[in-house]
Parts: sequence; C-alpha cells; structure tokens
Amino acid sequence: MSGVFRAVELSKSYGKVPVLNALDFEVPEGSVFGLIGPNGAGKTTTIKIMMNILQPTSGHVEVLGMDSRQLGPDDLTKIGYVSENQEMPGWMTVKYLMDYLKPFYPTWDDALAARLLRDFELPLDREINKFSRGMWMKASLASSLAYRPRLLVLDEPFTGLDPLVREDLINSLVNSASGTTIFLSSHDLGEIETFASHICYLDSGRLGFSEEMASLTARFRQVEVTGVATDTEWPREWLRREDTPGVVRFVESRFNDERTKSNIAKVFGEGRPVSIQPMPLRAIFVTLARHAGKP
Amino acid sequence: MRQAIHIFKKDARALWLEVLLLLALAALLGWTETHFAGAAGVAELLVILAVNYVIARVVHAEVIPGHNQFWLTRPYRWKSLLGAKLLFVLVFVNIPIFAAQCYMIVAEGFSFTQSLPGLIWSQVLMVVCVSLPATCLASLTAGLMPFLLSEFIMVGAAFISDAMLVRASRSSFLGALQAGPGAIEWVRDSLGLVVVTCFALFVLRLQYKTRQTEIGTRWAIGGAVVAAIVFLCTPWTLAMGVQSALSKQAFDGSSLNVGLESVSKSVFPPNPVGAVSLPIAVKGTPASQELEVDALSITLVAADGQTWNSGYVAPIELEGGAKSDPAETLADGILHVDPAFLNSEGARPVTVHAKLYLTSFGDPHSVTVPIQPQPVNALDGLRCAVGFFHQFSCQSIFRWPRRRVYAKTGEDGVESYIRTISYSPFPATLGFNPIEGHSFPTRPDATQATVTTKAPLSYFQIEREIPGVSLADFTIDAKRRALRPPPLPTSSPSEPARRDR
Repeated sequence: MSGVFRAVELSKSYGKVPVLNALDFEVPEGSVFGLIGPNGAGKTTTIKIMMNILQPTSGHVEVLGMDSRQLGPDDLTKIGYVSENQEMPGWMTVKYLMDYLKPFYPTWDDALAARLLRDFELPLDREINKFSRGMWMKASLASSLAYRPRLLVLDEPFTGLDPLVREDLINSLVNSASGTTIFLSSHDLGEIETFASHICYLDSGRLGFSEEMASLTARFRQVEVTGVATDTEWPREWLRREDTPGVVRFVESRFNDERTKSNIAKVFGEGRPVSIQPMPLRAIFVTLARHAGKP
Repeated sequence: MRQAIHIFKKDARALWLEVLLLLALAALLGWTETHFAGAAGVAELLVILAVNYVIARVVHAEVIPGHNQFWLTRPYRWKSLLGAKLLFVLVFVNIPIFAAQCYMIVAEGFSFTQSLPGLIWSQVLMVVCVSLPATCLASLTAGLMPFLLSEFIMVGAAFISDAMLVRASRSSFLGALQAGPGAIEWVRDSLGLVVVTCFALFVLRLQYKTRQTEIGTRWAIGGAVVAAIVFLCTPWTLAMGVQSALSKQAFDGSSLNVGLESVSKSVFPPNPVGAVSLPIAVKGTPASQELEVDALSITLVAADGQTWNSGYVAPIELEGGAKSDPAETLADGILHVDPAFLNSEGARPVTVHAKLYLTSFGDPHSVTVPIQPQPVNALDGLRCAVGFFHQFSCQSIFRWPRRRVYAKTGEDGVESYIRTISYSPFPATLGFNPIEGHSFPTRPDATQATVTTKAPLSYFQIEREIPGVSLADFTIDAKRRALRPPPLPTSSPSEPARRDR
C-alpha cells in the first residue's frame, strides 16, 4: 500500500516551546489510521499541519503525494475534515449546508448525501446552531462524506458524544467511507480499537510507535507471575511492574511466546505459575502513557 | 467567478437583515438630505456605522485569522472568496449609497447625466476611503469587537495626525510639515489615498492568499504610518509643482509689480503677539484676468546679511470676497518673526524677499437668473435660488465648481465671489451628501442676479524684492496707531499749526 500521508522529520514549535519533534510516520492508503496520545501530545497540531492550517517549523508533511503547504482547493476536494473544534456556519440548515457545499465538489454524490442525512436522522430545516453536539457532529460528518473523499481526517470526533451517537458515526464511517483512508485522532480508544487498522502513538510531540493494530495488540500482554523475582536483570520491554505479596504483574511490550516465557523463567525461576493475557488498546495506551512513551 | 457568485449568494442570504438595515438607512439618508437637513448629520453617522458593520459582518462570515474556521478545509479559491466579499460590498454597500445619491440629485433638480462623472467618482472615493480600508481591517480581525476597537484606534490616530497638522501649520519649526493652501490640499490627500489603497490591496491579497495575519497586520500598520507621513509631510511646494503642471496656459509674471500697502489695510492677526502684517499688493494683472495669492514665502534680509524666513504663509485676503479693482490683488501675509530678529532689525530697513504662488483666473462666462424660491440653472452645473434670510444661494453637485463664482444681485449691487475653492481636477469630493452650496450677499429688493464664473488658467510663482522696509511700520502697534482717530482739535491758541497738519 502506498502512503496518502507521510510526515518527514516534522517539527513544530510555538515560539520556543516545541510541540512536535521530528515525527516520521506514514499512513497507508485505505487504512483506518488512529492517532492516539495524551493531552498535549501534538495530535491536533499534526492534523492542522496536514490540512495546511498551520505551517511546520521544520520538516514537512506529504498529503496525497503533495507537500501540505501546497495544498490547494483542487486537493481539498479529495479530503474530508471533521474536528471537534471546527466552527460551523450555525445560521445554515443542514439542507442548505449540503446544497451550499455541493458545487464545491465535483464528486458530490447526491444519493449518498441523502442516505447519510436519512441515516443520521438529521432535521433538514433546523439551523445548525440549534443542534445538539451529536447532531452537529453528524452534520459535519455527512457534509464531509458526501463527496467520497480519498482521505478523511477526523480530529477527536467522538469527544462528548453519547454511545449511540458514537455507534452511528462509526457505522457510517464503516458503511459510507469504503475506499477512503481515514486518519483519526481520538481519546476514545475503545471505539478506535473496533475499526482502526493502524495506530500511531504520540507523547510530548515525539513518536512512540506507528504500526498495524494487529501487530500492536499482538506484542502487548498483561503478565502475572506467582512468585518473587530474582536479582536477574529486568528486561527493558517489561513495563509497569507491580509487586504484591507473592504475585508480580507487568506488561510485556515485545511479546513472543517462546522468548517471553524464557525471560520469565530467567527472572522468576522455572515452574512458576504464569498468566499471560491479551490487552485492550486502552490498557496499552495507559501503560505507554505511564511509561512516558517509551515502549 | 462561479464560486465567487456562489459565496456571494450565501452571504446575501446570511446577512439579509444587515443588508435591509443598510438599505433603510440609505433611504433615510436620501430623505433627510432632501427634506429634513437638520437630521442629515445623524443619518450620515448611522450610515457610516452601518457600512462598517456590514463590511465587518460579511468579511467575518469567512474569518481569516484563526485555525478552526469551517471554510479553511473546504475547497475555497482565495480569489473567489475575496471577489465574493468585494462584490458584496459593492452591491450592498456602495450601490445603496449610490442610489441614495441619485435620489438626492434628482430631488434637487440636477441633471442625472451631467452628474454621472461625479457620481462615479464619488463611489470610487467611497471604495478607496471607506470600503477598502474597512474590508482590509476586517480581514485582519476575527470578530466585531476587535474590528471596532482597531477602527476606533485608527480614527483616533487620524484625528491626532490632523491635530498635528494644524499645530504644525502654526509652527515655524515644523515648516516642512505644513499643509499648504486649501485649494491644493487635494494633491496631498490624493497621495495619501494612493498609499492607503496600495497597502490595503496588498494586505487583502496577503491575507486571503496566505492567511498570515501577523505579517498582514505589520504591513497594515506600516501602511497607516506611511499614509500619515505622506499626509503630514508632503511639502506644499511639491503640491504647488503638481498644480503648476496642470496649468491650462502659461502666465508671464514679469509684468506684475509687487509692493506693500499701508499697514492700515492689513487685518488684525489672530495671534497678534510679535506679529508683523505685510499687506502685499500685486499690480499689473492683464485685463480680463484676476489673480489669487495662494501662498507666499517671505525672507527678510537685514543690512548685515542676517536673514529670517517665514516658511509657508497662507495669506489673508483683504477684499472680503468683493473685488473692486481686478487689476490689483491684495493679500495680507501675517508673519511671526523671530523676536531676536525683530528686536534687532525692527527699526532698521530690511529687504523683503517675497515668493508668491499665484493663480490666474479668466475665461469668464455670465448669465442672469431670476431670484426666486425655485432653483434655476445657472452656469457650470450651478443651480441658484433665494435661500434663508433672502440670501442668494447656489448649489453644485458633488463639488463646488473649480472656478471662481461671482454673483451680483440687482442692477447696482456689489459683485462678490466665493473664495474657498479647490483646484482639484476630480469631479467629486468624499461625502454622502453630493450637494454643496454657498450664499452671496443680496440686496433685499433685487429680483435678478448675474452669475459669472472664471476658470483657473495658470498656476505660477513670482519672486520680488522690496527694499527699505521698516518692520516697525507693520506691527500690530503700528496698525493701531494708523487706525487711531485723529485727536480732537483743542482750543489752545498756542498750537494752531498742529490743527493744520
């Protein structure tokens, strides 16, 4: 798969305060790419540079094969953008919003637009500024999907939404954005886990990792060993050690069944009862955040 | 273009209430200017506020500064967006005012077709002086409050600049910062407006193309400073030079004689302390022409070579707008001479080196019109009627004619003329009300008036030396002595000779 988005040595500072530090990662075409990280990690800044809203301090970003600083109107017809912070023309009704946007996009699909509005059950003649947050986000998403963008950028789209609305949004993404590369930043790791194919972790402007979801979940395991650790050197890939009387828990960040069990035997001795469990994305995220982003 | 129209339609739909408000105020302006002049000032103020409000609202429909605007991630073309905003301003700001002015023209009985150049130029001035700077300022601000605050600061700065200009015109130190005669102020104003227009267009382009508001703001502030410098520091000699180049014909000034009249003919200066009033007479004006002393510069040269220069002096006309002898022009140059120079040289003869900037008027045209309440067409677009207090008043559209306008009421009435004219070649001045009027002294029993106009033919300068002038003869004390009534005759037989004198 070729990349629709590529950050190359991307750095951004506000004055003397660094926000992004030499990021290098690539978003494969057709992927659902989740950008995660704690508050202040630089997720929104990365997205705004990607959309040519902000300029990088050094390095650059390629979007659809073009330097983001050169993104023009023709390129934006292929990119959808939905953000929790985005201002919308609140005086417009949804119907007028869709009618207004249609001439901007050569690939606008009337049938898809109608279906999205129907599926989202949006009141067509109500002004957007009278919408609830969920309806507002649905309207924003509908107006960004109706032209079948090649790349859909979502910045914290699920924040503050109730579970039903989240499900509606995810369903519409899954059903209506087939063939579209989705670049998504979110705190809602549970939702991301259900449909993201790739995950990128940022912490304090630095790249923690960027890899496929399957690979990520495969290499993280919650391990519980009954016994006491010997003085043998603790492997670097074992994170978040917790000692309780008779039991030691930690997170294995480079899980390999054979190697992990071998290491456990070295540290705890042979024949200890061991429990090795897969971890949900949320737990992986918390582990990495607590470990200051050094998996 | 299609996208610009599309955005324009969206803005028109979003701001219909604001547009309606401006239309109503433009209608109010037209009505008050023609039917209720007492409220016209209020209407003008409301229209100015509404114009700025509507411009800010339409530009802020797609705010430039910031990172969260809806339109930033949509395929807007910057030229289309800027075009849509300018089109909106043209259609919903300038055209309503244009329509209000059309109504005023027709309601006041002026010819629409003859007024067309003035109408168009008036709109050009409105765009350059109001719409463009306001649009530029709105593009640098993210909301109505910052916009209004910035505008108040700019208007405040303009008032301060103007005050500085007035102050400078009274200061001998700031000779270079003087405005020059009112008739040629249009040169300075035009230069200032060219600067404002260039910077405003550049900043608008920068803002819409790159959205680099910090840089745009610096350019805008720089433009305002440059405009203020141009406004304050354009040498009036430069303006004179430009005006000279616009002369219709050459004038041979060698035949003109320049001399000083008696101090009794001078006026009391507004600031008499240390003032010297030189009543300058220019004689030898060719027949059928008249002269106006637009400005003068006096250098006093003492016997020991010591000199003092007045810088630009706006002369005070000594004939009250009624010329008794067209061949002679009298103008009073009030000088605030350096006290040290005056003390040392006041009683001794000095040489007055006078540089006079003059305008010759000629090519007269006359018409006699009845004095009646209903305006009648006179000359050069003037419409005249009897006004308040039985004064003969004439009105002109968009600007007073670039001519001397004389009126004589009755067979044996005194001919008087309007002195405060502008030599600007442009057909309009900035303002909502296109009607400009002036009144002439009128004989109560007069039934008709003769209106004469004379065109400015030539703008030129002459230099003359007047030797042996005693400054002490031209001080305010000397004038008082000259005007003091002669002492009453006494009955003392010891002084008969004095009475004879």
